[in-house]
Amino acid sequence: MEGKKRIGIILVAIFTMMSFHVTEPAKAEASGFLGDLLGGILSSALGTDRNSMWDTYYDMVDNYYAAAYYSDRAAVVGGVLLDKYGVKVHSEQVALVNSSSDSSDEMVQRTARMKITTIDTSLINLDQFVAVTKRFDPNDDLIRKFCYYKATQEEALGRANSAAGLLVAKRLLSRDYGRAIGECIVTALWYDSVKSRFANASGRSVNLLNQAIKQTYDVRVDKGKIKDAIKNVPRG
Amino acid sequence: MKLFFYMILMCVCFLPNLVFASVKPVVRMANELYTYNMGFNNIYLSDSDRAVLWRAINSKLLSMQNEGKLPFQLINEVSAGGHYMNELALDSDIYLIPAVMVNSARDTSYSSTTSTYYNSNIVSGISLIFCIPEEDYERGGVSFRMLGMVPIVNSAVIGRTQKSENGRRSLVTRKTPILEAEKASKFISLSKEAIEKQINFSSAMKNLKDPNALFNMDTYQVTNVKMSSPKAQQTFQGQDEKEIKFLTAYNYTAGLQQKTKKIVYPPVNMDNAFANNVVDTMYSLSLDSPNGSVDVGISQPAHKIELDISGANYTYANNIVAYKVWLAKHNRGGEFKELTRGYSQNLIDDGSIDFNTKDMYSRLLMGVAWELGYAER
Repeated sequence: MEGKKRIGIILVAIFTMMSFHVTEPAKAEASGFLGDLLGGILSSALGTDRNSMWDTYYDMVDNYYAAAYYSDRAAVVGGVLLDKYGVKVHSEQVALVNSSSDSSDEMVQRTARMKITTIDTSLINLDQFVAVTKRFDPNDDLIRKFCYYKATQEEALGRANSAAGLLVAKRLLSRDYGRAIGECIVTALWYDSVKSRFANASGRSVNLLNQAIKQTYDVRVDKGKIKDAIKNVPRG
Repeated sequence: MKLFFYMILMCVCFLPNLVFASVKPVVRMANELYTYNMGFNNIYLSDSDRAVLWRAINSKLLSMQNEGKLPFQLINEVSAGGHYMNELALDSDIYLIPAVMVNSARDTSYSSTTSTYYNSNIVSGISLIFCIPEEDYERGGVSFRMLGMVPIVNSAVIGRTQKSENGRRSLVTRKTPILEAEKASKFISLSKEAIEKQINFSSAMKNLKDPNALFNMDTYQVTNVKMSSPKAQQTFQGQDEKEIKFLTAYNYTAGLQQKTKKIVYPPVNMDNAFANNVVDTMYSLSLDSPNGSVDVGISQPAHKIELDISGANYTYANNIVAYKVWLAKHNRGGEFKELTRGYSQNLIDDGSIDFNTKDMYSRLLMGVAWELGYAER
C-alpha cells in the first residue's frame, strides 16, 4: 500500500510538471488573442471608424520598430484586464483559434506571473465583451497600461486595426476622465526615450498632458481630409 | 526508505531542468563588433563607440542568460590581441558575431525666407550572426558558415520635432548642420534602444543545438529587390538605389524574423549583377573590424523572397501634401502580397514643403518593409 502511495505521488509530480510545460505557452497565446480581441471589441463598442485613426497613430510616435515589444505587453495586460473584470476564457481552446500568436519565453513568464484565469470558452461573445467595457473604471491602472501598450503597439506596426488606446481616450475625455487616459497619449508621444516608459509617465505635468490631448484632437479635425489625401495618391 | 523516496522525487522534479540545461549549445561571442561594409555605413564609429555597442549587446545577453532566457550558453571569448576569429581551433562550438549591417546618415537641408534648416536621417541595423567555424581549403585557416541571424533595426531624424503647437505637422528646428559626433551619438542611442527592446531568441533557435540541421533548415532570405515604380526609379539612382533596396530588404528581414522567429539570412547585396550571380550558389559575407576581418559563408536559402518597390508618389490637395509608397513581395512559389504606407501633413505657412521626397519615401519604405515582414505567418 505504502509503495502504491509513493508511486502515486511520483506520478502526480510528473503530471504536474508536464502540465506546466504544456499550458504556459497556451496561456500566453490566449492572452495575445484576448488583447487583440479586446481592442477590436472596444472599437466596435465605441462606434468609431477604426481606419480613420490610422493617421493619428502614424503621427503619434515616429517609430515603427517596437511592435513586438509592446504587443506582448498589451496582450498580457489585456488578458489580465479581462480576468479582473470577470471575463473567463479557456486558454487552450482560444490558443487553437489564434495559433499564430507569439509565445516568446519572456511573454510566457510574464503571463505566468500574472496568473491569468482560464475557465470557459463558451463565454466569449460580443455582447458580453461590450458589457464588460462599460464596466471599466477609467482610473484603473490596468486600463491605462493597456491603452498605452495598445496605442504604442499599433503605432509601431503602422496600423490602427484595434486602436483601443485613443478610442478609449476619446470616450472618457468626453466624460472628463481625461487625465488618466491622457497619460497614455503623453507617454506614447514621448516614448522614444527610455525615460518615457509608462512607469515614469504618471508624474508628468498637467500642462504637458493637456498639450498632448489638445494636439491629439487638433490632429483629428483634419482626419477625413488627410485620409482621403493619402488614399487618393496615384501610384507612381 | 524515506530517503530513497525523496531522492527519487527530487530527481523527477529536477531532471527535466537538468536535461534542458545540459542540451543548451555553447555559443562563443566574438569580443568585438564587426561591420558589414557595403558603402552604406557612413557614420564614423570610433573604437570606443564600437566598444560601447559591444558591451550593450553583451550586457543584454548576459542579463537574459541570468534570467534563463537564452536558448544557449554564452561564453565571451578573450582575445590576446586581435585576429583571434581567424585563429580558432576547429571545434563544434557555435560562434556569435555581432555586426553592424547598416549605419546610415542621410543629410538634408531646407531653406525658407529666413533660415536654412538641417535634418539627418539616422538608421541603425545590427545583427547577431550565429555561425560555425570550418576549414577554409582555398586560403587556409578558418572561415565560418552562417546558421542564422537575429537582425534589429531602428531609425530617427535629428533636427525635427514631433509636433507643432497647432497639431498636424512635424517641424524642422535645427539651424546648424548636424555634426558627425551627433550622428554617432544618435546611432549609438538608437542601437542601444533596439538592443534592449528587440533582441529575442525563440524556439526557432533550437536549431542551434544541431548545426548539422543547417543543411535542411527552413531558411529565408531576400534575394532581390526590384524597383518597378517609375517615380522610385527617378528618385533613387546609383548608390541611393542600392542603399534603399538594401534598407528595404533589411527591414523586411528584421520584421520577418521578429514575427516568425524563422531562420533568416541577411539580404543579398542589392547590386543586381552581383546578386544574380550568387544567389544560386553559396557566397560569403565579409565582416570587418579594426583588428581584421572574417568571412561568413551563406548557403542557399530554402525560401527566396523577392521584394518590389512597386509605387511611390505624392500629391497636394487642400493645403495637404500626401506621400505614399507601395511595396510588394513575391515568393518563388508564386505568392504575392502588397502593402502601402502613407504620410501627410499640412504645408508650412508659405506654402512650401520642408520634406525631402527621397527622405520621405525612404522612411515610408523602411516602415512598410518591416510591416510586410511582420505580417508573415
